[in-house]
Amino acid sequence: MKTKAFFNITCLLFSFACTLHAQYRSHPVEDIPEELLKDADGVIRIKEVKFEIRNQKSAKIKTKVVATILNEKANHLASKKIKYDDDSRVRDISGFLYNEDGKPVKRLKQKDIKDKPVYRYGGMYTDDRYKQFKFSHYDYPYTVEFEYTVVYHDRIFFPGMVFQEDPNISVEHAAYEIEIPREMNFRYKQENLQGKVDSFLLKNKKIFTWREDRLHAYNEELYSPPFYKTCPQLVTTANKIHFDKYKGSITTWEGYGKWVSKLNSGREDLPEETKHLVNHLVKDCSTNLEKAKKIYQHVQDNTRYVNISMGIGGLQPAKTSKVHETGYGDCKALSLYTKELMNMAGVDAHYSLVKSGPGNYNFMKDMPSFQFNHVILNLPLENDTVWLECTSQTIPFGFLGSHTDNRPALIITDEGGRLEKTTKYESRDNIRKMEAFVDVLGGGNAEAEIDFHFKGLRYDEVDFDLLMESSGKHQKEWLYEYIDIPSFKINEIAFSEKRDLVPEASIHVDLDMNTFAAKSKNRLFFSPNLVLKWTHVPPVDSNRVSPVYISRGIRDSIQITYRLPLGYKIEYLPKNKEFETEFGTYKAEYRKINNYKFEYTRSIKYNKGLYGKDKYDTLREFRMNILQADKEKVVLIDESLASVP
Amino acid sequence: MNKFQFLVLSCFFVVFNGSISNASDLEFGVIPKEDLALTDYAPDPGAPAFVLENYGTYYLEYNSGFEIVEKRHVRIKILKPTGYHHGDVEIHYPDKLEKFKASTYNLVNGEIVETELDKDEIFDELNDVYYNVRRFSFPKVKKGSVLEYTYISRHENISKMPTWYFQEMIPVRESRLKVEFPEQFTYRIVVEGTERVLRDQVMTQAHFLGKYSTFRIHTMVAKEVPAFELESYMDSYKNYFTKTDIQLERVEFQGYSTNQFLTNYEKINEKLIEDSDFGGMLKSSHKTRKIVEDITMGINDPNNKMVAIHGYVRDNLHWNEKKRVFGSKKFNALLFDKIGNAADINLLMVQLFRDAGLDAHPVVLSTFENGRLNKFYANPRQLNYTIAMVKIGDEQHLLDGTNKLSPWNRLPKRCLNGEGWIVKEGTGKWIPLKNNEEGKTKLLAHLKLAEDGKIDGKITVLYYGLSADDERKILDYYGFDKYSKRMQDIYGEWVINEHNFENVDSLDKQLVEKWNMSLTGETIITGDYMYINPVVIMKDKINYFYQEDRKYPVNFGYPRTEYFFMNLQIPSSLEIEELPESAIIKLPDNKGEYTFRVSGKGNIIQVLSQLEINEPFFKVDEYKNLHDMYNHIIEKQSEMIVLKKKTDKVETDTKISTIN
Repeated sequence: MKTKAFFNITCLLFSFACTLHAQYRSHPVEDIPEELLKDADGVIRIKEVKFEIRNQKSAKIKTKVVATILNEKANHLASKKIKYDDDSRVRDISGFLYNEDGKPVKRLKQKDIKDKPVYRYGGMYTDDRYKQFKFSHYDYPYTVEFEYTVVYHDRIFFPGMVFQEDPNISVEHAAYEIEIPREMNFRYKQENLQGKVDSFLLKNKKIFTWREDRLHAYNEELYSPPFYKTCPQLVTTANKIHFDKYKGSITTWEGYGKWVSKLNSGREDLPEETKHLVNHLVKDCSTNLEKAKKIYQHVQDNTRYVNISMGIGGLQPAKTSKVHETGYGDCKALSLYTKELMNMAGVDAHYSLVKSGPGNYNFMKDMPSFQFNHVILNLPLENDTVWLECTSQTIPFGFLGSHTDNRPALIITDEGGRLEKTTKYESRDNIRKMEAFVDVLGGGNAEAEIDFHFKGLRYDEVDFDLLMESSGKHQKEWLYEYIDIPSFKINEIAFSEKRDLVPEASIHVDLDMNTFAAKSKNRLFFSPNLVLKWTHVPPVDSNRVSPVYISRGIRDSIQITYRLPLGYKIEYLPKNKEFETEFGTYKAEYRKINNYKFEYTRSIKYNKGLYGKDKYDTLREFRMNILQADKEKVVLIDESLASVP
Repeated sequence: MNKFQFLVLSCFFVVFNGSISNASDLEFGVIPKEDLALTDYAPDPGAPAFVLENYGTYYLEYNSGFEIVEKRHVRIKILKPTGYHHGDVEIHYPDKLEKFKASTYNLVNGEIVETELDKDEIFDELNDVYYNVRRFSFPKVKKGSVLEYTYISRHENISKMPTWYFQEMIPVRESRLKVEFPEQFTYRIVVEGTERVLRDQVMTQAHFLGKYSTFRIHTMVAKEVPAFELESYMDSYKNYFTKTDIQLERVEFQGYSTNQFLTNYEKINEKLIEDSDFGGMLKSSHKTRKIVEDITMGINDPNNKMVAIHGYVRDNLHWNEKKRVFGSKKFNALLFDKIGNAADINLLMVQLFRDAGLDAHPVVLSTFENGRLNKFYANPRQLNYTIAMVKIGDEQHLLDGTNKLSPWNRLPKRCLNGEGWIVKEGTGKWIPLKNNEEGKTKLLAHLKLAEDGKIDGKITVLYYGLSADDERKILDYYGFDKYSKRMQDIYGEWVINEHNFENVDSLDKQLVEKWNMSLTGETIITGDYMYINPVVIMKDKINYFYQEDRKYPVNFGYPRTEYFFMNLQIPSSLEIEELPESAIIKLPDNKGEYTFRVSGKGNIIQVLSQLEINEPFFKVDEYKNLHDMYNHIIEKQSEMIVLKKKTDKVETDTKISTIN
């Protein structure tokens, strides 16, 4: 008996001490495994997200994050912004700040929690708001702990989780849990995760959990695949959705499309008289293509993009009559409006969802879910399918820029949705070309006429509107970026465009260049590649870890004819250069036409792709060769001297 | 920053209500057809949109208290699609917004068609702390549209009238402001900026406070105001934007009179000393005395005391990046939190100096990006920062404790902006905001050229003054490994090894960076000749002043020097055939100088290139000198060194000489 009592007391004392201890010290920095400190600015000690689904309309997301901030670059971990809207609330916010030893220093107070509207700018309207709270502390390292819950009562989007959000933030422990009623189902997809899902039943619920531990920090390397392609993440989606009165099953793209078409139904309500306008517009057109062009032009002339993110989570387009009245709308409203006008003219057109952004990243074809952020229009014309971007007043008919090209779009019809790829611009069509005639003068100055051509996706590269409209200042600014001459004067600049499906643009510049050629007493030196020089070389890296990734292919071509000043002749013309690697090809040629003229041509084909890490040195060498070849100089010599044997 | 506003006149009078003059000569909805027919704006053919008229009237009204009433009427002409976003408007108003109307007008088949803004399309955001915002987008905006809106807003704070902007980011055809006030209220009207504003004043009699009173009506008109543009190496745009500053100077009626408004620096001085968040904070306590005692123990020299206290403040307190004139918390709270705004930190420093027996005072100023202070028309709202001044003997030292990586005797760039005001009981005065040491970068290269054109050698860079602070900041931010990686990324063609720094933590010394490097492809080899550029290694070859015209002055912020020296050893098989000519380019009034010197002897070539900017401020009419100098520098730096293979003759000569 006695011993038991003693044992009990020690136990009690011991646990008391533990509690005290635990209260006194939370997450001391010394507990972080050494391996997680390397290359880390901060460490996520714990990140636990629990998604509790009550039914198809309501859910809760509980989040707990403990993070240690090792230096100022990780200070953002000590501040949180939680977005909410008319359908959701942020609740139960708590926060603690601990010092290096894990002693609590501060507690988040109610007055530290700010409630703010989402940042808006001219032409953007939304009711979304966020709760913002943070600790301002600068005694590194320190640790913060936050807990908060977001409650959704009428709509649920299935959130996923990125287990490591930044390569320089390591993760000690991260977990995600979904609790879902037995009768409900969902889908998920995991990418780059070490662990597997764990699931079990609990009363009338199903529980699914994922956990990842000890994710190391690392420094992102140059020319490596973007972080979003390699980070560990989990994507989840509902099978059935029920937003307001709109119900649907989105397990197939077809079903998803049906649901979108429900959201859109009844939103096309242009008044009867619009039909007269449309008929009037297309009265002289004989083909659907002509009609479509006329209508598109009309839309461009009469509407503008205004971002209105309101109602049903910002998913339902405004009524077309509203667009007609106000002359503005967001991508959904403008696309639907254009669609209705097209339909009125007897032209088939479909509302189409697309994921806009640079590069065709992480679109999961096999997982029908909310993956889109933009709407365009699909026109199945007799000979060719045309896609229309309806938010720009200036883009040529049928052209998609590099943010919407060559990727799956979900075409919405009454029968449902189907994926179809948007226009692909072949690399032979994406051209940047420069032709020039340069008259080198005896003093080292030069007069030049340069023609720039941009085609296909390269058409995007120049802001023609700005250039055409602006004062000489902006034109000079633009040209200064392109040509490698520090001082010049533009005499004349002219623009022309071919607004085809694959558009082209040309800029003709007539300019005087000062200090074109460098001088010595008897010689002139100049670099014949006066535009589009490639100057970046990947640094030496003997410990390369990541594969080599080139995000974008490029084709550049240059042709320049040089006329030399009287009294000078060519002393040195660089040798022709040709390099070929898996990254592409480079060719520079010097062709002497006569004693006073030579022609310089240079072309680059740079291939996009993913290459092994062992190819890094090849890339470095290739880029180094290009850099050196691009800066080669021609030497001219005073003829009287050159004639001396 | 509501600190400087006060005075609520809570008396009941019969007051004249309403404006005397016509609020505007524009009638809402009556748009001249010729304005609708315009297709471009002649003074600026590239403009995507311009303001046709921006008319306003400010006057006083008495309701439950005095208010400033702002009436505004605006018309905007849209010319091009890139100007459509000028149809998205935000109105900021502090208290109330009334009589709001907005319409778009288009010419359709020669007829003017008006489209009113739908009330449902107006979005109001109400804020407690700052101002409220009304947002809306004009309907039916297209090429040629005229957009018109008008409103009245009320401002309960009458110590300052709202700022009127004559200039905008698009051109303004006409901007007109009328300001009316009775003789009992005197407002001081200052027009700031670079564009021409015509001013006119008339007097008229009207009923006010139950009797006739003389009213002043000021009219300010600016016509054909060009769009505002930002330029490189510009100081605050606030120095050039054409706008008003209208402050209440005096109130006088029925025996009540006050001229306690902060319209000169003596008054601001008084107010600051009294203010609980400024002068009121400067109180010695047991805690401050204890700190001083601890850190100055054994130090007798006042200079050393000052340096020790500055070091304590700098190393122990953290700046939250907020520029402020007033403190936000008591010293005790600050010493507990260890984080505060610029005033918190520097006021504490002043107190610690005082507790150490030093003659110390706060200095208030306006930071570089906040614009220059107007010394003659004081505007307390221009002040946004507080530092400390210590006087030892005849020397006045300025100190700022917010920068972890700066020595005691260096103000950060943000503080180097004309003059600051020393806040001192009875006798405040101005003090120039300057550092003793200029910003300087010295690059020393000892290189060797090989016969195949490869260059290798040692580079040493020395950073002084603010250049050292800047580089230390970058180094601290990235850490050495990433800093070094970043450098290799920028200079990818160099092969760099043995990269290191010295004096990283000795803040009062220059920062030293050293590396070894090799480089190929910088030379041209042809037959008997080799050519090489004399400034083969320069960190910066960009011409910031390539534009011929300049609208606003250039301000480098502080004097600076960029120095480059190279000692190049050429292969013994080559000899110098030609060197670029040395040159010195001087700017007038000794404001700057560029020196370029190349000399050669035997197999050593020495190149010196040095740019000194002695005076950081260049007026627009001095811009051409700067532009020309930069072009000249680029030209000089591009000239080539010509090396030639030694001929047999020379070889023979050498042989002969050895035989001799």
